[in-house]
Amino acid sequence: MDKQINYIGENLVPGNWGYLFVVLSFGTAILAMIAYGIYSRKENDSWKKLGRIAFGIHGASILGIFITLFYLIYTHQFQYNYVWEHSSKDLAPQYMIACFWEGQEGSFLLWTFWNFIIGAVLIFNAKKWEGPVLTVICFAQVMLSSMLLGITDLSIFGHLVHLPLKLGSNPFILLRQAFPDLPLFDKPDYTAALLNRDGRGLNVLLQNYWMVIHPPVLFLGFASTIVPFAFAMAGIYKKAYGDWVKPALPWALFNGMVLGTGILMGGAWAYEALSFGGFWAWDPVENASLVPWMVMIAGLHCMLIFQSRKSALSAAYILVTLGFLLILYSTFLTRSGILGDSSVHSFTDLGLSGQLLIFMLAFVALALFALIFRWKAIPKTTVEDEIYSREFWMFIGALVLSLSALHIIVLTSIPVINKISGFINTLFHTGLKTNLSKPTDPIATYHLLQIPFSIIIAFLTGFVQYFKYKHTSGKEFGKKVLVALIISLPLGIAAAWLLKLSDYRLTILLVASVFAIIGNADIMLNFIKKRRLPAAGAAISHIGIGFILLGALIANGKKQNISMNTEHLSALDMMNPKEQMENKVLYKHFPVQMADYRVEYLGDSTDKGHVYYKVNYKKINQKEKRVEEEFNLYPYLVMDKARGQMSSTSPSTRHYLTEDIFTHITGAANPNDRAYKVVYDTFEIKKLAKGQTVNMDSIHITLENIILKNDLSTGNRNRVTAKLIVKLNDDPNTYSAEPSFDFVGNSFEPIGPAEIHELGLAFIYRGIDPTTKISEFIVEKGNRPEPLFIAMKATIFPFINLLWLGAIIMIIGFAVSIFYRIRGKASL
Amino acid sequence: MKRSYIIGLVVIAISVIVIISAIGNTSQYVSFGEAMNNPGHKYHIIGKWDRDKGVDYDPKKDANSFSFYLKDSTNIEKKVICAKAKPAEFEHSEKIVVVGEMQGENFMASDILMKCPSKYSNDKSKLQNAM
Repeated sequence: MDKQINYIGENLVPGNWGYLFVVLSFGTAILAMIAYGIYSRKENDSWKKLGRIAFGIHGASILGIFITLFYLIYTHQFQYNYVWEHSSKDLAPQYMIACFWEGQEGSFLLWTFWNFIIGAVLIFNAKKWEGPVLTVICFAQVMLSSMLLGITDLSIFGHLVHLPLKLGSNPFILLRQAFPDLPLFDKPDYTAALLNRDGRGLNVLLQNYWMVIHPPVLFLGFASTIVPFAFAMAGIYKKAYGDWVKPALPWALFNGMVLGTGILMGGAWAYEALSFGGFWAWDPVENASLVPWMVMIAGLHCMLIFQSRKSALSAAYILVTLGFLLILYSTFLTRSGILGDSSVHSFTDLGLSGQLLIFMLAFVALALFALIFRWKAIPKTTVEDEIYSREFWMFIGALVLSLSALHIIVLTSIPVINKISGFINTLFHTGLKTNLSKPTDPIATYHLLQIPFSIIIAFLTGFVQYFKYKHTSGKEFGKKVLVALIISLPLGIAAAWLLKLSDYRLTILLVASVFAIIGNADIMLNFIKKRRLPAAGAAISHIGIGFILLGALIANGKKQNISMNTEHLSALDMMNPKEQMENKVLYKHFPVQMADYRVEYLGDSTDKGHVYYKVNYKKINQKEKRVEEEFNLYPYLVMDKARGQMSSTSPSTRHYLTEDIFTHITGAANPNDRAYKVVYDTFEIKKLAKGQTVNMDSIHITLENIILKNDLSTGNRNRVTAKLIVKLNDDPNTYSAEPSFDFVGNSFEPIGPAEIHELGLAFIYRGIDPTTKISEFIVEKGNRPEPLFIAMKATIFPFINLLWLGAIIMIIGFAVSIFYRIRGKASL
Repeated sequence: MKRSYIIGLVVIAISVIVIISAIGNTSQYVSFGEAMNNPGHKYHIIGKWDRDKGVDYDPKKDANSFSFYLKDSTNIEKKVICAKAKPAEFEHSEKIVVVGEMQGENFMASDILMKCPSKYSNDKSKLQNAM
């Protein structure tokens, strides 16, 4: 059905501009790619100029898309689909930026933006490499900007060639184009109806400062992975096979730093705001960025070997190429919907999987073509590296890192294996179709090999730098390593003993990490003594890695669940006795002892659909009977307005230097349930003088105090508040209520009842006799409701700060190395 | 033999071990039927929650388990007893994956994964409701 409606008030101008920028950015990317491609071959400056101009317009168009989209979000133009889907009126400005990357289109936009910035920097300093390096980057830009085109049913030559392929998803389509058959859009002035409506908003779980900073960093990490790859391809193209390594080194370091930071930020975000209770869950989404990072780090080490010893060049080629292809593979994994049931993350499938696959395969073809046809020409050393040399062990380290990455990517690719075997089956009827799922105990499966790999890597980082390049005498090396080992072995074992680490694998990893820290600290101090701090970058980042491993193994290996439920043994004990008992029920105002803490659920408050539970922790010194330490945590639930149900939860954590106390709500009474409500059916009038007590059956009410407050804002209005204390025969607790009334001039105005909800009692202060000073209360009585409760999980993560400390040290180390390499003073 | 060849062989050998270890540790998606034929084996089962039969979770009695009925792709329905607190997203789930084994007539799940309709998937009905 064709609708011929002249819509009014749609404000189409910004959308049209936005789409113009989309098309322009795509077109100029193609133009820049062609111009730079020709320039690489012909070295003709006019082609370079054209390439630069096209790339410049390309960048301006990307900015144009950004600005237009931001304008639409900022002015709440909900007739645009993207704006309606990802934003709402109440969003704070920083979350309006975060809206960009909640949707796939926006995150592709972010990626193209970073690629542009990187390309612009390269135009300034890549010199003779500008042509081929930018050709590769522009190729990626063509692929990425096509993700925004939003062309469906591609027809070329007027329906002669008809492809059912969907090309990109346009962020500027209108709501009525996204949902064409809604009756709402039969009205020409439907935008007027939209004015009073709100967008769907940003996912509440994502409304958190990490959502503002994490994606840009991670995408800069993704984007910068292309640079070493582009240089490697340029090296092949220019037949200058090893020359690319030097200019690409700072970029490889930059990539290691930024992508590493992005991954760790993801861990910090998960730990702080998400509910799976830890900083790393081996989820496919996390693995998808970890694996390319590991491979790129392996590639970086091979580049360093080549830079010093002219060997390992072919390994460097393979690894930087694989690293970049793995970034594309990760993008395919996380955005095509193929991961389906294997991840806790929700994925949008915009129907772009075909295009993503083409994106990836295009680069695979380019890389394979370049590497296979020129493989023979890539110089290889004929001399064997000495065993007593730094390069030999660095190379071994790169191999171990790659094998470790292989393990992770195979486990992450299980859904892909199923897809491929199914595909082969439909083609050849092999009858073999796998139906594999992730392991029943994924964590144990990962740890099985990842712990040994980490042990080897930690030991390697500890001693490799004691070797010199080329050759080191065994004696000299042995002496230095022995000192480091003698210090770290007892230190590590003592730490393991103090921590009561029972797993021998973790004990070995602990010793290895301590060794990595001590060994590299020694190296760093030597550089500082020689006043060559900039050369100590590698040592510093390796210290960081040591601390990261140390923090991760202690926090994870010794995390202690303190909310173990020992009272209610369920019928499932035999299945999973440890895991299942982690949640404990807390009734409101009934404290429970958990390890050193008395934990009490004090109440809840609701703000913008978030229900915050106030959980009080008290550490009581048993001898002196005093509170040593007290704090409140506010874990929250998100209520789904439409259904009145809890939809997701977010933890709250108390941080100390040596441990974190992590608290997470796993269930709660729904206060809307009838059982938790009070129905008041009777009342009595009670008269009380100050200090007097009256009895109602088993209830004793005392008027403890009367407070008079002058409300200055309204002039002659005075507020009188009574403090009532309520005790029961069969309950050791003391309850209180504070009803009040105002008197204006000579008249009393009672203020709503003061409730003691859990007793089913409410008090209205009717007034006070000026002569007898006797107060009069209406005491309403109802049923005693079921006590409100929460089910919660509390976990102590010891020494998790070592992990964050390590992350910062690692970043600093990378930064020092970048500085060192850019200054070009890295001598042999 | 040159050392690089030895290293190459070792790397290939370890790669094979790594891949075998990874694949060997995977589990399988099956139906209740197959899980019933192999009691004591842990499997993954994908299915839909039978909403009409509700979900039984009373944290006051036991905060660490809940049960519900799951219908798998072959339309067999079994009671699933899951040894966990009921996840907050449970009611929103569209598809559920349970990990565990058959014990008698019940499926004892040690883990549950939920596929919630993402914010985006049933936009249309939401939009219709919102307007």
